[in-house]
Amino acid sequence: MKFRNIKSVGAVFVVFFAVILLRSPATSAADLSIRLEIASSQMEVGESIPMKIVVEGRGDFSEPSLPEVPGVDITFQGRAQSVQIINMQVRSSKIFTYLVSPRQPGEFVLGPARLESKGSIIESNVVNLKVGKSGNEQIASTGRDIIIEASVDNVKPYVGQQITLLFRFARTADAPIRNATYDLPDLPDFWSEGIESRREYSKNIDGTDYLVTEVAIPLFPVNEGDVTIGPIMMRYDELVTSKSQPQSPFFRDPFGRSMFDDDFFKMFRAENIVKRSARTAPITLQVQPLPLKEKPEDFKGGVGKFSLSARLSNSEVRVGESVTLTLDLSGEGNIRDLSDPNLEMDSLKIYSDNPAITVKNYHDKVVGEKVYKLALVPQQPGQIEIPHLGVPYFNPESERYEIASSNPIELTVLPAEKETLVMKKADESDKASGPSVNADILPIHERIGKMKTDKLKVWLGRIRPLAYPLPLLIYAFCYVATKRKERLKNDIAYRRFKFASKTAEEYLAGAEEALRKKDWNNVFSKSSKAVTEYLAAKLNVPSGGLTPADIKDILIRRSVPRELVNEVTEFLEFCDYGRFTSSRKSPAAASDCIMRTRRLLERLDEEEAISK
Amino acid sequence: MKRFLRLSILIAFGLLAFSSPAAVGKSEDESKTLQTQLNEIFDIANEEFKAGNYQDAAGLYEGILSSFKLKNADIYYNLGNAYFKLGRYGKAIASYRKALLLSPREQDVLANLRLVRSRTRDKLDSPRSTELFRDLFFFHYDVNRSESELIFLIVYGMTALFGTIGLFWKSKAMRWTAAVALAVTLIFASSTMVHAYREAHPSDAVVVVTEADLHTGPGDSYLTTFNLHDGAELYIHDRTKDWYQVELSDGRRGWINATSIELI
Repeated sequence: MKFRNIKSVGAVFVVFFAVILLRSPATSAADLSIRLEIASSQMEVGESIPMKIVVEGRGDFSEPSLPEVPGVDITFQGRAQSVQIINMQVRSSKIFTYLVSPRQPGEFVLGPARLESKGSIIESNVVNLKVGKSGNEQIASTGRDIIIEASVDNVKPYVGQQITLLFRFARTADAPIRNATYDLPDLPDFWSEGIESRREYSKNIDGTDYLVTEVAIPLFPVNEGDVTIGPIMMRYDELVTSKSQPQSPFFRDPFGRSMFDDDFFKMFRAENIVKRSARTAPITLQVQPLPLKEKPEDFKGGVGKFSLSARLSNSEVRVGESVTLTLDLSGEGNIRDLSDPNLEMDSLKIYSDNPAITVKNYHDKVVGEKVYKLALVPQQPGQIEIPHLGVPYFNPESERYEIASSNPIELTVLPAEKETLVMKKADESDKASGPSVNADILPIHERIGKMKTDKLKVWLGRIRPLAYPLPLLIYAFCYVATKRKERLKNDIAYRRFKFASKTAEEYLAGAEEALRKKDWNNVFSKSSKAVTEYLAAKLNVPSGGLTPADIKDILIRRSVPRELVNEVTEFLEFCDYGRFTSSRKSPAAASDCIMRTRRLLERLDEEEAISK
Repeated sequence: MKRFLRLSILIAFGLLAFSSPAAVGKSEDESKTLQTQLNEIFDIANEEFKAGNYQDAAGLYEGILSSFKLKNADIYYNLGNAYFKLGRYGKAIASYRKALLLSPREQDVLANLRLVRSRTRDKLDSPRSTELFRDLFFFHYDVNRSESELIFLIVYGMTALFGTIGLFWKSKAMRWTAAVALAVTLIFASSTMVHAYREAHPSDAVVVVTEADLHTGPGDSYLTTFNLHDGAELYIHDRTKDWYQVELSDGRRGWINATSIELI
């Protein structure tokens, strides 16, 4: 019954889809329609907007073509296909996407798009596009999801004064934007340290929350007059999802939302990547020349705010010895343009080096440090004052030339340790380097070996092979010996094991003594004891009350070969027989017993199951 | 036990036999002949020096060091004196410092080195930390490699001795003595190893040309950052085939051509 129901339901589905498919009539050119759509009919130069050619209907047709429009770039971006079931009718369409980027303002007519199907040409509608000039405003909004903006913090800077070019890119949280990059324009009128800072923050703009990426680029104008920062071009990918538009209320929930907008169905939709670009408006600055009034003679450049500090590595120094003077020039602005501090003193010989320069971006301001290290060599004893040193710069805040100056420093110069070490005057220093200093150095050594280092080296080479291992070997030997001694003292089983042979030998010696005394009982008794004690010690079992049967059991448990076990058992029985019967009490039998004992002990000693 | 004792004695005798002069490869007669030749050339070099022929004297001292493959503090000292007289302060400093490596407490060398350093053009302050380090590890800096090894062997032997006594005579005092001896042994073992490494991998150098450019990279095409002059002492930081990255005592770094410096 159930099976029959399933079959009937399946038949209904087959008929349903067959009807749907069969309802589709034969395709003809008249069934195709072509439509041209553009996102906006108004735009500005520099913007780009998408344009679509939608071809509805099924059948073979050629790629649509668009007539060229002078002043407008139309770039093919990609294609997509969609199939919709509306009111039990299947509708398929192909969408060709283009990017429209006007190069000049004006009114343009785009289209008609054309395609060929079965020998006939089908034309689309045309769209009108009005292109305005690039806006004078610095905010260029490419759509409600994205805002880009460029600005400077000072539109009337002085030549050499740092300005900050701020580029902001704001997007809503759900903006389908990927791979956003920006290109700076050529900046021939500016010099840059190449240190930009970047930060991200949220901002509410006109009631909408945006995520803002802000890039701050410090620039130094190098030419006076009106200079322009060209547009910053931004490129990004936009993900465009083909939306489902079912017309039937059948596909809508009680709240009017389409069930195809559910995340589950979104998985099956195609997402097209559309490459877009946008650019900011150019910015014009009026760069002012530096004032000539009160300009210091030694001013070479440097606009900002700077300070100079000086310190000595030591406040006391002897004549002829050196002390390092460190001059630290730091501040806000282009530190590379500043002139070098100049120190000249007759009482000092001065050696200068190239300064070390570090520049970094600190809160969108270029700050730098220039460190000079001067080696000062005093030429005569006394008190020296290193005067204040000054570096001129132009302060744009006060609009005046100022001097970054250091404090004077006192240096105490002590007499030289030896008169021979006194340096000559600076202008005579080159002459002092000649070979005219005969009396200064100590004389040469007349004999090799005065310092006796070679003999020690040779001697060490000889003793080394012995001196290195010997102490370690002695210690290791003593360590092993003491450990063994300690174990013998504390570990009874170990001691018994180690002395098993010795104990057996003692019993055998007793048996031989008994043989000499013709004490036959003792010969058999001592021989039996030698073997029993040996085995008890080796196997770590108590020897008292150990019968041949016990020994047999233990030996079998220890996996001793059966042959040897039998030999031991027979020997012990032989000894017992000798002790308790008179027929064996003869010198020959007693000697034989001792010999058998020796042989047996040797075999037991060789047996690994017992001796290891 | 007896077997172990026999084996130890055999090893000891074997090592003694191996360490005999014959095993080293030179006979006593050969050594004496070489010593005589060396003394004769050394005397000639000294005569040249006294006669004021410093260039010839320096050539002879250099010849002794290279021909005899010798490292001797007296020869380096005399060579330093010859170079000093020639006004070649870099070569003089290099020679004195090589002499100090072999005989670090030799007052003649120290005095002449101080003098030649005072004559150099570049005045570089050595960091205070370096001085403190030298004071702290005087037992390393004031002895040469052989002396350090000798002290190590003595304390090593004493450690073994105290340790062995401690095995038989177990007292707290003996354990402490052995522990202290072991600590001293480890210190001198480290010192000896540092000396040996230092000998195998020289890391100090002296400028031996009148003026040397220091570049930002290993090549003449790189920017020159500063100049150094004859006698400036450097620390080798890195090296390529023909260039050394050097560091000055004040922390500055640069690349210098290998021909401009002499390693110590």
